[in-house]
Amino acid sequence: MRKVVLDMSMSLDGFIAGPNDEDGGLHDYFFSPSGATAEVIEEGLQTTGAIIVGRRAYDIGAQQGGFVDNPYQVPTFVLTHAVPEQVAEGAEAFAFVTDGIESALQQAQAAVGDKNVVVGGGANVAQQFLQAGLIDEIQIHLVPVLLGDGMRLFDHLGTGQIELESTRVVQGPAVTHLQFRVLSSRRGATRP
Amino acid sequence: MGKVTVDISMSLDGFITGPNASVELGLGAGGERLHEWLYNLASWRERHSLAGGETNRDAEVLDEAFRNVGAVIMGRRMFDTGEEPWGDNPPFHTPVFVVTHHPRETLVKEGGTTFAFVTDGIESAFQQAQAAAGDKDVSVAGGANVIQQFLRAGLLDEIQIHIVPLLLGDGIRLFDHLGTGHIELESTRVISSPDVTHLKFRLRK
Repeated sequence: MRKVVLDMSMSLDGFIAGPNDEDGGLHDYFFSPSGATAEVIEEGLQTTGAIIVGRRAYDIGAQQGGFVDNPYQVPTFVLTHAVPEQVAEGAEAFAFVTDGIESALQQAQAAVGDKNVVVGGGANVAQQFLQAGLIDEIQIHLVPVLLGDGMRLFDHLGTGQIELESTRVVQGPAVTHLQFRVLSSRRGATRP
Repeated sequence: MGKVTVDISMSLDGFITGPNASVELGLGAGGERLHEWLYNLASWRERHSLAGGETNRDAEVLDEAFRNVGAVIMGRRMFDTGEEPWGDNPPFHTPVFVVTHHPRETLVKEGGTTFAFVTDGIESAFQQAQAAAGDKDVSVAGGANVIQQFLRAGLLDEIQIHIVPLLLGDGIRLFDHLGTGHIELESTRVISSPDVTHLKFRLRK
């Protein structure tokens, strides 16, 4: 393991949130999983050793009380320019990293043992990791909706083409789970 | 009456062409990569009057998508891009209705393809296509602009996206300018092969 995984829920038209940071129903499947989806989620929980998120994702989570009863009880690193004065309930053990993605990644890797580091959003953080060639695997939970507007995951990539390999496709009742290996990852360049 | 369908290849990041698509370079820089999964399939090659090719799951998916099409709708830019490469026996083998502002005489090609140029809007093209298709399906072949118009007008029954494992970074986005109302879809079939993942959706009207 010890992969760096980008793990996001996304609408068919590429949004990870609707306008005004609304969820757009993109995480409904997560809160009432069934069938194959329940297995995918369980596997995610088992293999996640640490999580990296951006400040905006943290703020939204804090606003919605999302860290209370957080199913992911793992070291969490928040990329930010400034450490918040007050930490949200449930986020007391979060580490706020002000010196960039490589620093966050190093700290996360030191904490994971042999599990994966998961980059959980937002779009800006995902793009930075992809542009730096630091993502080994992409997991997209594709929700069958067109939101029309919101936060696009794959935007401003400016990297030219990134080749992927489809490694697993799971059809859940309300979401399709797509897993890809990144073939041009800087980290795993010599992998067969 | 048949269904109104879209069947198109798309990168994971939502593009149906690479950057700088033009009439000369219809799929944009690097965009050919989106269609690579097609070129060796027997069903694709047959429609393009080429011999050989593989008959596998991808070929079946493609064949099924074509089989019941009675008429095609496309935008003028797609026609302009394809006219020369499609040659005398274009791969449609049905009446094709080109949505355009500029009139042109109907073209009758070999192999059953005709191109009629419709200057009074997508609704008119749609009606003519349905009349030509009879019981069979109407396929909205592209480009993105025409597909988006059909989506916004609520005229589509089914969309099949062939997701290619690739991030193109830039190009023409399929799902753009849709407005802000959610459009709910129902995933009806998922077929995965090494080179491409076929996702079929029904639209809830």
